[in-house]
Amino acid sequence: MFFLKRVFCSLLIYLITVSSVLNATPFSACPSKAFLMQKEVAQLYGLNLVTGSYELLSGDLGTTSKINAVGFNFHDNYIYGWGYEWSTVVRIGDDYQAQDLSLVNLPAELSGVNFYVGDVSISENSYYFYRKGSSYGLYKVVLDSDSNDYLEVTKVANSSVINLNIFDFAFHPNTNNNNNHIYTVDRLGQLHKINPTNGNTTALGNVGQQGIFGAVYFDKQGKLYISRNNDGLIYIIDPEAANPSATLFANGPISGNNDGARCAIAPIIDESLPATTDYGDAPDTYGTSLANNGARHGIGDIYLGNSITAEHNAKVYPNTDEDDGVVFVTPLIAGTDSLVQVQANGSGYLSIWADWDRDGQFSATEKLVSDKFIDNTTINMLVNTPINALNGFTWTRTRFTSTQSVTASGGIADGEVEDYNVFVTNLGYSQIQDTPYYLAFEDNWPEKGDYDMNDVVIFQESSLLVNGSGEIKQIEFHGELKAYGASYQNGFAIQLDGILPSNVNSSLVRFEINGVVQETSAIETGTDNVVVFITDDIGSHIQLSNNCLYYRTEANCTNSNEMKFSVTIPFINAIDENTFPVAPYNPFIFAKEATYHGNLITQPGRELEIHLKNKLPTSKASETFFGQGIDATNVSANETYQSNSGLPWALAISPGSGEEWKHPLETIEILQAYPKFQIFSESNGASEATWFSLSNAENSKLY
Amino acid sequence: MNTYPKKNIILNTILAITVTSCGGGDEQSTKASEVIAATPLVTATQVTPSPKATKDLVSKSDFDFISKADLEVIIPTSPTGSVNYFINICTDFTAENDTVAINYNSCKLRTTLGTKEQSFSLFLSSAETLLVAQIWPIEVGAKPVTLFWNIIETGKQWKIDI
Repeated sequence: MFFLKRVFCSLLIYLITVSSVLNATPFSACPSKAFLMQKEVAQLYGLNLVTGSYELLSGDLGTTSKINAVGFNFHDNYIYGWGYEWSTVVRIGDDYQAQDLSLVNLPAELSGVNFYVGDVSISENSYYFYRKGSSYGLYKVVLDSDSNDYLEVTKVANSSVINLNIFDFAFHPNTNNNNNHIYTVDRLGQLHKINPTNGNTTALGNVGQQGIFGAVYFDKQGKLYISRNNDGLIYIIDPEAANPSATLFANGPISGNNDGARCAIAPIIDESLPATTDYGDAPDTYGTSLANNGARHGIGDIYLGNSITAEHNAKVYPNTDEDDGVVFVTPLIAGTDSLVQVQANGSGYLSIWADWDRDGQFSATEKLVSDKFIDNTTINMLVNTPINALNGFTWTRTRFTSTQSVTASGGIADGEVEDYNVFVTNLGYSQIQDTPYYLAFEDNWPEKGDYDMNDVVIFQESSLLVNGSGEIKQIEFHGELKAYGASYQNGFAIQLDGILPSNVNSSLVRFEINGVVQETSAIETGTDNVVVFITDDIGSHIQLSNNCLYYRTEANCTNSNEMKFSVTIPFINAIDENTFPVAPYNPFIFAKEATYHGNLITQPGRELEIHLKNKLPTSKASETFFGQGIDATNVSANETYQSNSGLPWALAISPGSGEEWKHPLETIEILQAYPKFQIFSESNGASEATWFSLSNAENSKLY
Repeated sequence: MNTYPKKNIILNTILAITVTSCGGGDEQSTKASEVIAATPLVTATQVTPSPKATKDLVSKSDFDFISKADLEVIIPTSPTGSVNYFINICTDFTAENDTVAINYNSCKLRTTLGTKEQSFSLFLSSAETLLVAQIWPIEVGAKPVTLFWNIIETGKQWKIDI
C-alpha cells in the first residue's frame, strides 16, 4: 500500500510537471530585446542590443546541460534551440522551461549529435540547424503544428554544398527585396549569405573583424548584429551594403559559450516600455542618434551630476538634453591647461573628446581626457588643449562608465554621456559675451502692424574674441527662432555697421543651421558693410503643427521642431574695440524675393528691410520705401524705421542671461501683454527699464 | 541644460553673507572675501492693463527702445608668474551656505590675468545688476577667489583687487 502510494505520488508529480511543460505558454509578444543563451548548464539572458546591458531571465531552464543554436519563432512566439541533454530540438515558452521535442525522420547521422548553429525561418515557420563536417550539413524541422510534416527533419544540403566555420546564423527579416536568406560571419570575418532552399552560400566580403561570433541577430531594418564571445563586443553590419563592414555598436557580455536569438521583425527599441537609455545631444554628425550609432548608456547608479535622463532616442541638437555633471570652469585654452569640474556618482572611467578642428566629428585623437578613474566624488581637473585647436565654440563629449577604453560613439551598459558646446581660446585672449537679446519684429513695415511683436522673434547671443591689445579678432553669433507669426515670407540677417566685408577671413567663416554646416556663405556679397546672411526664408526651416497657422504664437500650438543657427566670423585684421559696433548689432528681417509682402509694396524682395529703430539699412535696401505708409525715416538724421510718433517695428529685449522673455500671443498687442511698456516708451527709457520682465507681464497674454 | 534658482534667492543669500559698502567716486573696488550689499530689485507687482493702444504711444525720435546697462571692469594683474590665473565675470549665480554655483553660460567676460591691468567695457541687461567674479589658479587642487558686485549700489566701474 505504501509502495502504491509512492508510485501514485510520483506519477502525480510527473503529470503535473509534464502538464506544466506542455502547457507552457508562448511569449506574449515579439520582444525588442535579444535572448542570449550561455553557460554549460543553460542560462537565458535578456540582452538590450542598444546598450549591451543584460539581465538574467532564467538560471534554471529545466535542463542539466547546454542549449544552443537558439532562434525566436515569431509564428508562435516560442524560442527553439538544440538541447544537449536530449540531443534534440527544444521549445521554450514564457516559463523559461525547455521542452524536448520528438523529431520525425531524424537522419541516422544525427543520433546523439548536438548543434550550436541554428535559427527559425521568418517566412516558413521552420527551424534550421547546421553543423560543419563531412557527415553533416544544413537541416530543417517544420514547426507548424498544423502541418502534416510537423517536426519532420529534412536535410537541405550536405557538406559538399555548405562548409562554413561558423558559430551562429540568423534569418533576414525579409523587409527588403523579399530577402529570406540566412546570414552569418565566420571566424575570419567573412560575411556569408546562405540560401535556405538549397544551402548554397555566397561570400559577401570580409567585415573587418575576426573571432568566434557565437550570437548573431537581425533587427527589423535588416541590420545584422554579431556578438564576439571573448570580449562581448557587438558589431553592426549592413549586409546589403556594397562593401559590408562591422562597426562597433555596443559592449555586451563576455562568454565562452554564447548563442543568440531574437525576434527579427521587432525594432531594437520598444517605445511602449519606459526608456532606459541615456543619449548625448550634439549634432548628429558626431554620432548621437541611434541611427548613427550614437553614444548611449544604460541608466543605473553610475552617472554625472545630480541626475540622469532616459530617452528612447537622442534629442539631437537643436533639441537639448539635461546635462549637469561637467563644468568647463575656464574656456579650453589652446596650448595650455584649462580647468574642468566633474561631478561623478559611482565609480567609473571618464573620457572627454573635443572637436578641435570643428569638422563635426570626434576623431580618436581628439581626446581631452582618457579613462580617468573617479570614485564617487567631484573633482577639478587640469586638461590640456592642443595648440592647433581652432578658436570659437566647439562640441565636446564626456562619457563616464565602468567600462574602459570606450569610443566616442556606440552603446555601453552603464554610465552617462553629456555633450557640451565649449569655447576654445588662446592664452592671453579674452572672451566677451554680449548680453543676449530677444529680437521681436513686426513685418508690416512701412504700414502699421498689429504690434503683437511676434511676426519674427529670434533669440540672439553673440561672443567676441579679443586679443591682448583689446582688439576684436572674431565674432560669433548663436541664434534660435522663438516665434514666427508672420503671414509674409521673411529672411533674417545681421549687419555689422562699419565693418568692411573685405576684412572677413572668408575661408574660416563657419555657418551652421541646426548643427549642420551650410554650404552657402554666411557673408552676403555686394554690401558696403558686413552682412551676416542667415536665411532668406525663415519659414522654410520650420514645420507648423496641425491646425496651427503660425509657429509658436497661438495658444496650444507647440512646435517641437526648432531652428538654431551659429556663425563664426574671424577678421583678417583685428579691429579696435572702440570702432566695433555693440550688441545687439544691427539685426533685420527682409522680404523674400518674389513673394507678396502687403498691398502697399507687393513684391519688394530683398530691398525691403526692417531694422531696429534708428539702425542703418544695408546698402541693398531701397530708400524708395522710406516715407511710405506710416514710416517717418530720415536717414540723414539717423532716424530710421520709426513711425511719426516714434514707434518702432522691431524691439531688442534683454532680460539677462538665464532669463526668458515671452512674446505676446497672436494678435495681442505688446502693450496689453506688458502694460509697463507704455511708461517705458513715453519716458523714452527713463522709467520701467525692465518692462519686459515676467513679473511685469499679463501672463495670460503671453505665448 | 543647467537650471538655477531665481535672482531673489541670490539676493537674499548675499545679503545674509556680508554687507560692505564702498563710497566715493566712480571707481570702486572689492577685495577677496568681500561681497556687496544688495537690495531686492524685482518684486512681484500688480500689473494693470493699459487703457491705451500701442499705436497711440509717443516716443522721441532718437530713443531706440533698447534698455541696457554698461559696466567697466578693471582686471588685476596676475599675483604670480608661475601659475596662470583665470577670471570669469558672470551674472547668473547662486550663493548658498558659502557655496557659489555659477552658470558659466552667463559669463560676460572670461580672460587670463596678465602682467598688466586690463580694462573691459561690458554691456548688460538692465535687469542684470548683480555680478560675480571668480578667479581660479590653473593648477591642481585649485580653489577660487570669489567677489560680488552690485551696479546699483556701487557704481558702473568695478576695479577688482585680489
